[in-house]
Amino acid sequence: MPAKRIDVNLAMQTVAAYDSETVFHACGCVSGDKSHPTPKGLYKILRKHHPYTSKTYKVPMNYALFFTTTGVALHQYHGPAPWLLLRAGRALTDAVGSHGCVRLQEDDARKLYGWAPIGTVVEVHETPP
Amino acid sequence: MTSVRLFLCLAIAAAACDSAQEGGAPEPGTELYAISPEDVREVVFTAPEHRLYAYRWSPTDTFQITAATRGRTEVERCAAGAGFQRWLTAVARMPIERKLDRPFEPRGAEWTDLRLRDTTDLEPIDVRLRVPVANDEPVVLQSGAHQYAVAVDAVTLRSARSGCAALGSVAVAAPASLPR
Repeated sequence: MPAKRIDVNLAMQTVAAYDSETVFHACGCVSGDKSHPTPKGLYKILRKHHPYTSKTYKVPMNYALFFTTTGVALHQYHGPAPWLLLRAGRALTDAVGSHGCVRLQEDDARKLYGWAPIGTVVEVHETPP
Repeated sequence: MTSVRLFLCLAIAAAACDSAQEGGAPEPGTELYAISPEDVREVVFTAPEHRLYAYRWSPTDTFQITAATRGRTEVERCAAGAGFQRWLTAVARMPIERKLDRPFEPRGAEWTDLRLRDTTDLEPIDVRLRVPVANDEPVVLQSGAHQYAVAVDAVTLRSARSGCAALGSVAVAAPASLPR
């Protein structure tokens, strides 16, 4: 098992970062919506970038940790609505969500960005509680 | 029930309008970007007096380098050697040391543009760097309106100016002529 890995649980909408078996950080997230689900599988961080603005979508994606070759990343949430409202909305319906990326609060995104080197394993799964 | 609906609408609206906000300035120690050198496929390094282009078809191939210098009619071509590997490793991550209180004039012979393209479908990494001639000055990276000293070895970066002599292994083709 690689020393550092990031676990994304789509069912729980949570992210947990592990250093060996020790939890470095755990937090909530908002993943892709019903039309743009975050792809499940085993990945590794391919690229880091901060600050970052997607030229394709013209949206900020600060503290971006890209883990797919098509641009899916863990990154800071930049939307206008309060984070708690977004999380609550997601808990009600999976019509609420991103275009596939895993959105995080700024503090959580910053912490993961500083901790995770290139090559860190990212596992995306859907494990109910 | 009405309040739940209102709540739901607000949440959906929030998700839908992911408005663009100004990004936070990177803190000291933050890597402005990082990429694995093994995944880099293409490099373009442009300075007022020098041009460097390196390409490989797959990560297992050796980079092929083309280098040109202003005022010289010949373009150098060579396969990448250990010098290029050191140079690529140096530019593969940009850890920020500090924000500059007194930024440099963002033009001049020391400013270079770097583009790194990797094996993904992601947009290339494009950055503007000031590679100083003097050893007592830091390498500076322009990010938005700010400039940052970055922890990258200036001597290694400057080696790109020497073209194949510093970065190549063996020449693979006779030098081609460039029109003046």
